[in-house]
Amino acid sequence: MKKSDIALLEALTMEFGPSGFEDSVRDWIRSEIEPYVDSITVDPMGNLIATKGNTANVAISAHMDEVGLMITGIEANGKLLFSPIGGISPEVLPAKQVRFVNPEIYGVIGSKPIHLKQNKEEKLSFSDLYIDIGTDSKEESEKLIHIGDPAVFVTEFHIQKNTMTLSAKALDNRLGCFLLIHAIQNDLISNAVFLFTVQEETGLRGAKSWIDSHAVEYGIALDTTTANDLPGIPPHKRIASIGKGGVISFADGATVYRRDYIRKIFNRLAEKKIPAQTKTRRTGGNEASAFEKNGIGATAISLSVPCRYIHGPVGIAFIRDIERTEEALIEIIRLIEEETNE
Amino acid sequence: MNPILKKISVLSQLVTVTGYEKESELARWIEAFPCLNGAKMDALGNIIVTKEAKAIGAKRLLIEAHRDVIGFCVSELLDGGFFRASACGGISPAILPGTELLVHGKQVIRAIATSIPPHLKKENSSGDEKKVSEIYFDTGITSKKRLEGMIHIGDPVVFASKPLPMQNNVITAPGLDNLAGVLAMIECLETLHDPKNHVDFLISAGEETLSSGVRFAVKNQSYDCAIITDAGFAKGPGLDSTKCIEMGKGPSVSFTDTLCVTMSKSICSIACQHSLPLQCVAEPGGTGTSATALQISNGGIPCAVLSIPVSNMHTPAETVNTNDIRQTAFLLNAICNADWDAHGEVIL
Repeated sequence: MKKSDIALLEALTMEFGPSGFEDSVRDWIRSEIEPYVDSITVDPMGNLIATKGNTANVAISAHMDEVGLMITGIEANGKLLFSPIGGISPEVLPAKQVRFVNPEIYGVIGSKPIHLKQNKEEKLSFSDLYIDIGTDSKEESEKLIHIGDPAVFVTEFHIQKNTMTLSAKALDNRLGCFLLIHAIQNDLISNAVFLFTVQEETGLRGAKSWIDSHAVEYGIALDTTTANDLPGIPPHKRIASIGKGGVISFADGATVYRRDYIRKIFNRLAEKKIPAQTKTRRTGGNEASAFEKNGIGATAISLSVPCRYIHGPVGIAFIRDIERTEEALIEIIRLIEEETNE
Repeated sequence: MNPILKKISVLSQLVTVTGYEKESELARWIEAFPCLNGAKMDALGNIIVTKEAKAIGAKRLLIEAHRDVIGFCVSELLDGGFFRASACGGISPAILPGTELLVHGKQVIRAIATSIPPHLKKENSSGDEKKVSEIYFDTGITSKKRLEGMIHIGDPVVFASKPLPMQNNVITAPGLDNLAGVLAMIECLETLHDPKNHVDFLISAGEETLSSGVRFAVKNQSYDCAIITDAGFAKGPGLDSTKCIEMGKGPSVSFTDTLCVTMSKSICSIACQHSLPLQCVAEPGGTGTSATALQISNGGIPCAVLSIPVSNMHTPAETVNTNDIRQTAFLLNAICNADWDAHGEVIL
């Protein structure tokens, strides 16, 4: 991966964009791709739709939104109550730094002491947590923060040079966005619809609305998926691993894919010696389910970059996996083009 | 940028996990804070700088703040590039999942305390808390062999979060216990000229484990009294307010059965005389600071504890009000210039 690509990745992951608040991510992506595409529009939902060529029968989607927090209340002592935007486990939240925009404000997540819980077996919940921005009173907090304001994690973008391991926030799914931008800028795909969607984390809402009103034959969801190849997780509970290439699912929690077509893809990748893996547990789901079930239905394909600790403050991914996922994407597009031309 | 935040950022590059104090050299401290010029560092990593008084019959005071911060040390390297670590100092495992850390090995390696993604939560739904030693840290380096070439058992591990500004002069940073105390001492040193008393400023080592530093540093020294500057628990949701102090209202002085109450009262008088904010906190049974060891060292030294309110203590997101650090520095300055007698009493 080139230095400029790493810089692109860094800028993308550092952008502020929880579900429903994708504006700055979208503006940023638009400015990156506009000179390279044949058409570009933003639909009423906020999806950014770009096309190359004019006979595309394939749409590739990558959601722009990340998980985050939304302020739901302000207490008399100035502390902020919140709920998650998208799926976040409360256990990763205590003592994390968070960031608001307009105005740029930092805060930390505090938790009521665990030992005060009446039932120690009880799990930590969002009601045990609050955000402290340094204010002492409700009035003071209200001057800066409104109910409904979103926050994201403060996480540095970092590359471990000798192993090319990437750690950053929002890898889910700025990695997908990165692959689309990279493909567009380098003209790796010449005839397709590129969908940068909103609100995936809150129910595939951006993808569903676009797909409902547009017909394509093939829909590829480009996303990240859980790599839980961790000590203490037995093989039968593992979903995917880092270092084994892109993840193409036969089935997940939301979709059963066309087995014949997925086989064809794996055969092609094997032929081209492009490492790839499949999900080894039927769990999770992504925009492929919208391609399959919405509109007139399409052949849905789910291609993901394996990523550890998604939906938390910081994820880990391999640069090599990102590159292999791109190789797989290009090969899948070729396969689709060949079939269409037959 | 808040000047205290700037100094905290500099200081956070100098402090080390308890037990690893020797690894940051004295020269780097003096370069960052020229007021430490002439300081000496002993075998344990205690840093001592003396301000001599000219007056005959001046008393000898010790002002102490510990320089070590909590952290971990690598205890086992595992297949797949994971490792386990032991806590150095008290750390709640509940704050670890999803936390970024830095391992100071042959090179600095980033690591993440592992967590289970929310999609898979159901099957791991018990609220049982893991111990620190049961948590896996992920370096993203998938081979154990490769990891062995980069880090070693025993290497120190610190929180990776960075100092950031918040509202009302509040800042967040890891290690504010006891960066806050050390900085109050440095701020005092920077403005202290010709004090009435001889003052030894001790930036001590090993507090978070067994207060080993202070015990050693005061050997063969005679002090009339000592003031310990440390972080204290700030009030917060769900905390027992009788045991906590308020942020933004200056430091606190502790009243406890294990320290010199006369001295605590004297400090109240000094604060009053100089119109400096001071809170009082009762800590029956002891303060959990170096004072416990110091008071019974060397034939007995009257001790008092000043605490700077810190929230989220012993986590990567500790917070402190920088005004409290400044007020503590002012109070320390007044203490250095007070007329102390030999029993921890001040003559006003």
